[in-house]
Amino acid sequence: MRAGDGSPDEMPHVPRLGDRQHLDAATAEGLLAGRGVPGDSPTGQQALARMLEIAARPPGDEELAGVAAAVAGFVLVSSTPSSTQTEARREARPRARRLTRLTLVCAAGAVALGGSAAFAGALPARLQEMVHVMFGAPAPGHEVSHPARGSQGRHPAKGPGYLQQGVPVGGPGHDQTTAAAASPTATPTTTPPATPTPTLKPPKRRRYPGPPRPTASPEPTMPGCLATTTTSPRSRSLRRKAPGESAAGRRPQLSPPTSGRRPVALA
Amino acid sequence: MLERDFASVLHAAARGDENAFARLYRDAHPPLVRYLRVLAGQGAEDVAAEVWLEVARRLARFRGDEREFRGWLFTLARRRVIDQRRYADRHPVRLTDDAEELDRAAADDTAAAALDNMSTEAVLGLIATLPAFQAEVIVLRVIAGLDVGQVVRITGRRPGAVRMAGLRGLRRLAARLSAEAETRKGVTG
Repeated sequence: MRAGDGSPDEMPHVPRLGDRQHLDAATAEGLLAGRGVPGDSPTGQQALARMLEIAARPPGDEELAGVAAAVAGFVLVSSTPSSTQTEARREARPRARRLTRLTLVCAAGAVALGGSAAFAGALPARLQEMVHVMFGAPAPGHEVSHPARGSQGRHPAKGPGYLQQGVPVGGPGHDQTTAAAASPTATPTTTPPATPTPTLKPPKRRRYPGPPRPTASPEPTMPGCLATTTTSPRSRSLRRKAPGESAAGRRPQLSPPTSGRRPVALA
Repeated sequence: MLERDFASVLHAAARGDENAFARLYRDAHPPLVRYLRVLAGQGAEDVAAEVWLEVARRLARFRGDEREFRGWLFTLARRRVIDQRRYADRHPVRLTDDAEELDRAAADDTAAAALDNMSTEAVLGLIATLPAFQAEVIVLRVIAGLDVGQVVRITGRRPGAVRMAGLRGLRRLAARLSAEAETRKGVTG
C-alpha cells in the first residue's frame, strides 16, 4: 500500500503518530505538573489535558465514605501502646539502668571520700563539728595522728632528739622523760611547759604501759644529767625514723636495752 | 492540600485528635485510592485501609511538611502493594463457581455515583493500561501532585528514568485518545 492510497479515515494511525510527535518534553512536564496546555495546542494534547484534569479532580462523597472507619482505626491504634512505643521504652530501659548505676557509684564515692576527709579532720570546721557529733569523727581542733607513726611516735613539729609524750621539753637537745620511771632519789622539779601546744593530746591507748608511775615525782630535766626513760622494746621497734632524721640525730644509746630501762645521756 | 494548616493539623493528629486525623484523611485519601486503583486494581480500598492504619501507628514519629507527608504516604502504599503482589504470588487465588456472588454490586452504589465514577474510573482504567512504571509516574505526578524528586525517592529510580517514563506514558495516552476519537468518529460518521 502506498502513501497516496486510501483516505485518512482508512488510515487512522497517521494523525495519531503526528500527535505523539508534537508532545515534547516541556509540554509533557507542564501536563504532569498540572499546568495544562496552551489553547492553540493540537486537539490530542487538549484531550490529554482534559483527561488528566478528570483524573485529578476533587473527590466525590463515595471516595470519602471510609473516613469513619479510618478514624475508628486511628482511635484504636492511638489508644493502645504501639510497638514503636514499646520499642522506645525497651531502648530507654538500659539507659535508665546505666544512669542508676552511675548515680550509685557516685554516691558511694562521695560517701567514702567524705568519710575519709571527716576522719582525717580535713573538713571545714563547722562540718567537722557536725560529723564529730553525729558519727564520732575527730573534733575540729583535734589533730589526728598518723597511724604509721604510731600514737607514741615523735611529734612531727619536733626536731630530732625529742620524744613525743604530750609534754614539751625544756630546751633544745633535751630528751623528754615523762614516763614516770624516774629514780626515787630525784628531786621533784616542776618545769612548766614553755610553749604548750594545745593540739597535743595524750595518747588514748598505750600498748605497753610500762612500770607503774610514781604519783608525784617528776624527773629532773637539768642539762647534763642522766635520766632514764622507760621504753619497751616493742615501742622502740615501732618507732620510725622521721623524715630528715639521721642516725646521728637519734638519741644515743649507751647500752643495749635489756629490761626496758636504759640510761640516756643528755648532752 | 492543607498547606498552611498542615503543621497544626499534623501536630494535633499526632497527639491523638480525631478531627485532625479526619482532615488528613479527607485530604490525602482520594489520591491515594486512585493511585492504588492503578497499581492494585480491585484491592485498592483494602490496601488503603492498611496504609492508614500504618499511618496512625507512626504518625507521632513523622517529621516533615505536607509534601513529605504525601511522599511518605505513597511510599507506604507502594510497599503494601509490593507485599500484596508477593503474597498473591505465593498464594494463588482459587476461583469459585459462584460468579453471581462475586459480581454483586455494592450497597451504596447509586446511579449518580456510578455515572460520576465512570469518568474517573474510565480515566484510571486507561492509565492502568500503560506499562506499570509509566502509569505509576503519571499517577504520582498528576493525581498525588508530587514532583520528580519525590517520585524518585518513592520509586527508587533515577530522575531521568522518571521523566522519560512520564513523557512516554503521556505520548501513549495521547495516541490512545486519538485512536478512540478516530474510532468514535468512524462509528458516528
